[in-house]
Amino acid sequence: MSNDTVHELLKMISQKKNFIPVLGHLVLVILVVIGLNRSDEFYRFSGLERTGLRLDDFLSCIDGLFFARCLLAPTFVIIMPILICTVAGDLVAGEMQDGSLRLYASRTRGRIRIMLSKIAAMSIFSTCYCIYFGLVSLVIGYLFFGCQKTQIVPLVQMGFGTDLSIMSVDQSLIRYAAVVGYYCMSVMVLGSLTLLFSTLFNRMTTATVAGITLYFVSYILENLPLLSSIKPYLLSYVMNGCVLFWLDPVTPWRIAYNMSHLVLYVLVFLFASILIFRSKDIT
Amino acid sequence: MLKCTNLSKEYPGGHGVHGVSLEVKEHEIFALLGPNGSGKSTLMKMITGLIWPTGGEVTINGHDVFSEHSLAMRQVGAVIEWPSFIPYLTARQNLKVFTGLRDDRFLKRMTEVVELVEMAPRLDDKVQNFSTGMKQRLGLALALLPDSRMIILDEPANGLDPNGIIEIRRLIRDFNRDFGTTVIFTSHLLGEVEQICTRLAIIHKGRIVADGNMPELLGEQLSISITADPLHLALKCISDLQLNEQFPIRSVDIVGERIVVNAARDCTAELNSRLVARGIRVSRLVIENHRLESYFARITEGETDVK
Repeated sequence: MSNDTVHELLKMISQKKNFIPVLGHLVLVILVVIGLNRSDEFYRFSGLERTGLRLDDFLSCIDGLFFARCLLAPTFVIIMPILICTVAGDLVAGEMQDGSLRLYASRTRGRIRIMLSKIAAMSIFSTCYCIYFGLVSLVIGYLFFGCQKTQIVPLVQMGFGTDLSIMSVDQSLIRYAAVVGYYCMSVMVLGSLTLLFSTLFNRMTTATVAGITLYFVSYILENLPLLSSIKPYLLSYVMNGCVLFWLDPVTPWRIAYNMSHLVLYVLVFLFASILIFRSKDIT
Repeated sequence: MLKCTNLSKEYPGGHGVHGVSLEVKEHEIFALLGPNGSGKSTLMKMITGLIWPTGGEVTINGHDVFSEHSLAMRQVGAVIEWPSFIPYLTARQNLKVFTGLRDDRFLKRMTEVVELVEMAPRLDDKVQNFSTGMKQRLGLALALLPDSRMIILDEPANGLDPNGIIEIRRLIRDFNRDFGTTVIFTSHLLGEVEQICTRLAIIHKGRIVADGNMPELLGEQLSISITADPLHLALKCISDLQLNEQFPIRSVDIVGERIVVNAARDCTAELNSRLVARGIRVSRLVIENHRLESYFARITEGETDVK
């Protein structure tokens, strides 16, 4: 890891605002702990009745992994996107705004090197965050709810009809790790898109808001029947394609298809960011 | 050491920098002056590779700043507009982040440089707690690191109190004298410029309108300020003397309640005796040390076309 990447990481971890999501996650943890402790309400609220799963069976399948799975969606669909947009928005536009980019870019390092170190730091930072969220959810879940040998994964919450997946604890752990890994990649899509905005605009807020807005607008578009033909290519759809990991059997080609989209998006956005930054006037 | 050839940056509305050619030699203290919006900062940003020119080229030690940025900037330190450090990091961390260095040799050099700018005791304090003067000094330290042979400073005395200005002036002089560092700087404080620079250029509406060393540009002329009563009679008397070719008066202006005479040599005694002989009461007659100021004012008002 180059000195520049280390220094970019130092800048990220020195900013208190980048740790607000930790608090957000802890609030979510508390809410889900309370929610699962009032399991009958949770059962009715989440529509599990429709799956044919009885309340008693549901109560018996609540464990640490179930708890961690409950936290996946709010953490990686809401908290992480907001965090990555803030971080990426700050990388170029934020530094442009506060003037530190002038000091930085007038040294010996070239523009491409600057961008590569920022991209590397952003990837490391977001990956660490994803792993942290994944692990903390698991550990807290285990502490509060213990561990069951058989895992029942209700897919109705994930938009897969009325199905349930039943698997061993090992299988569930592996799939959980795969989902967190997938989210590491999908967070980078949004990060690279916001970085592109960050090179285009000279204000951090503009870049961050543009990234977040596009992401949530994509969610709305995804649910419009009119646009069903473009749904597989929408940012939010591709980013949340990891729900496929819970299907039994797993459909590798569909996951690979989604991942190839993720990689393509990341590469296109990053390449465009580098090109724009290379020719940008740092005022 | 630094060479700008026909450098241009065109902005909509005709603003920017138009065909600037400059050369700064090693060990010089070079000042770039200009009114607000004249293109000083744009030129500085092009010299440091922050802004892409629309025409021309900049080379430092023979390397093009844009196509060979790393090579060109290898021994150049620059603080453009304002030393915008990262407030939540310490001075030490800032120096490491901006130079991108962490090795032992760098750390040793950093200790030397912070001693020079008298920042050593505050090296582990967060920059957000620094005064303007300390930020400027830290900016100087950054410009000198790791082994800069040329430093580029944009308004280094900006926001400083008189003591701070004196301190920055002393540091710039010391770097130049002790280490042979070439210094390029912009400033609005013409008195400061006059005291430290060896060469200067004036940029006006994006063009260099004057470029040379101080005696070349200012010559031997000096300004004499006269407070007399009645003023109109004194003005008439001096204007008459100006017509006399033996008298070295170049121009006469009224500035407030004073008459300012630009003369080729010191003629205060003769002026005083002539005014008194005509019954004019002279209450004050002094040589002003603002040669650059009046020169700058004339140049940027377009009264003179010096190149």
